[in-house]
This record gives sequence, structure tokens and C-alpha cells, in this order.
Amino acid sequence: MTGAATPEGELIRRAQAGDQEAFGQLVAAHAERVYGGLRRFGLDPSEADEVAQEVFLRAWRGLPRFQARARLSTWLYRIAFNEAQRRLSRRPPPVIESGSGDEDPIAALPEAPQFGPEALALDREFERVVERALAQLPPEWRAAVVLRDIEGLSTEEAAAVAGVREAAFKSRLHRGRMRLRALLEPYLGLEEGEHG
Amino acid sequence: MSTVLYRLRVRRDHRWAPGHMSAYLDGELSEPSRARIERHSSECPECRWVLKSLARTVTILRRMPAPRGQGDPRDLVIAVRSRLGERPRP
Ligand SMILES: [Zn+2]
Repeated sequence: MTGAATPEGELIRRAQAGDQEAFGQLVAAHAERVYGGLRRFGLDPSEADEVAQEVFLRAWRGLPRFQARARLSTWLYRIAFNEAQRRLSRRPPPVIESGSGDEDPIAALPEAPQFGPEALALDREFERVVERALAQLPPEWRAAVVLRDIEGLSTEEAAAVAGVREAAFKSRLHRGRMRLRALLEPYLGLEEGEHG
Repeated sequence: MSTVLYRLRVRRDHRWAPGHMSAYLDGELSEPSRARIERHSSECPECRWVLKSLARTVTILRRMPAPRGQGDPRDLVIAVRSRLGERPRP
């Protein structure tokens, strides 16, 4: 093996032909994004570790059918998305704390009115606020926001990963963003004068 | 335009605008729709605030770093490779 990185297309061809070493290099290259996607879709760290293995094992089995025209990262996301949704669907539905039913969801977020515009530097504490807000979204809305806004996929790619038409995807994305906007509103640090 | 017609138009735009803000931010609206959002935002403080805070929310999401706490990717490679023979390809 030479020191230079082998082009991904070449690794894919070798892995498709059964080269486990080449596949290992693909796993190494995509491990972080797959793991990150699984966590963002809503799995906890130990679940994400376990499911990441499952994703790559499925990829290995499915690789002979992988079309070189597609992007490997998008294809892996699709597998990760499906595995994560499957795992999430087995969970009991979230328990709504205290029975009144009209709880302000913002109350579930930590008190942090001291965040000003500097919060946009996304310090660790503010990151946790965003993560907790994401955790309050229905899984489909959450996945749409993760794929499009956090992972930066195009609408077309993200809809393909989520397995829905673009119109349906855009609707989920919009709802997810609007819910997040409402949850994060107290933290945005925008000038009060703008608030009508 | 008469005040009554103006108010009716603003109210119609006010009902229409929020549902189109994501598409507006993603540059996916037609030119007339884009102009309609912009005109309404200039007329309606409430929608101006929603649009601005929605844009800020999307910016924040784009800056979110990868989740922390992942182990060494090499461990995953080892785990996966040790299991490749478990379920041979069909
Ligand atoms: Zn309005």
C-alpha cells in the first residue's frame, strides 16, 4: 500500500469485488459522519456505536448493487437514516411530563437568558440548548432539519435519504425549522426593537 | 389603494407568508412569491420577526459541530471487519 490516499471510486470498485481492506478504508473515511448522523437522528452514544456497525455491515452486503453515479456518503446516510428510524420506532413514545398537556415546551430547556448575540459563536452550553430543542421535534421533522441544515445536503439528496418526495420533505423541513425557531426564540439574542 | 383593501391584502399576506418562509430562505420561491414575502415583511412586524428569527435558527443549525463522544473510528473499522464474514453477501 502506498502512502497516497486511494481515490474513493477505486476503493468502492475493490470493495464491490470483495476486498475487505478497501472496505475498511471506506469505513474509516465515513465513520465520523455516519456516527454523527445517527446521533443527530436521535440515538444515544452507545446505540449509535452499535447501529454504526450495523450500517456498515448492511453497506457491505448492499455494495454490489451500489450505483457508482450516486454519492457513497448519501447512500450511507440513507442506510443510517433507515436504521435509526427503525431503532427509534421501537422506543416507547416519549412521556409527556406532568399531565396538563399544555405545557410550554420551552420550559423543558435550561434557563439561559444571559445568552446574547455572542451565543452565535455556539459555545458548548448553547449547543446543548439546540440539541435539547432538536430532541423535542418529532423524528421525521428532526431528521429533515438534520439532513438539510446540519449535514448540509441538498433538498434533492436529503429527500432521497428520507425516502420521500421533495414536496413532502420540504414540508417536514419547514415544520421542523418553525418549531425550532419557536423553541430557540428566547435564546436568539436579536434586538428587542425588531420584535413586533 | 383604499385603506380597507390594503388591510385585506395585508391580512391575506399575513396568512400566506409563514408557510413560505423556509422556501424563501432556501431561494426556492418564484419571483412574485419572493417579492410578496419581502413586501409583507416590510409591512408586518410580527412576520418580520418570525422571518428574521427563522433565518437565525437556520444559521445556528449550519454551525452545529459534529456530536462529541465518538470513539476512535479505527475501533469501528476493526469491529466491522471482524464481522464481515458473519453475513456473507447474497
Ligand atoms: Zn404578517
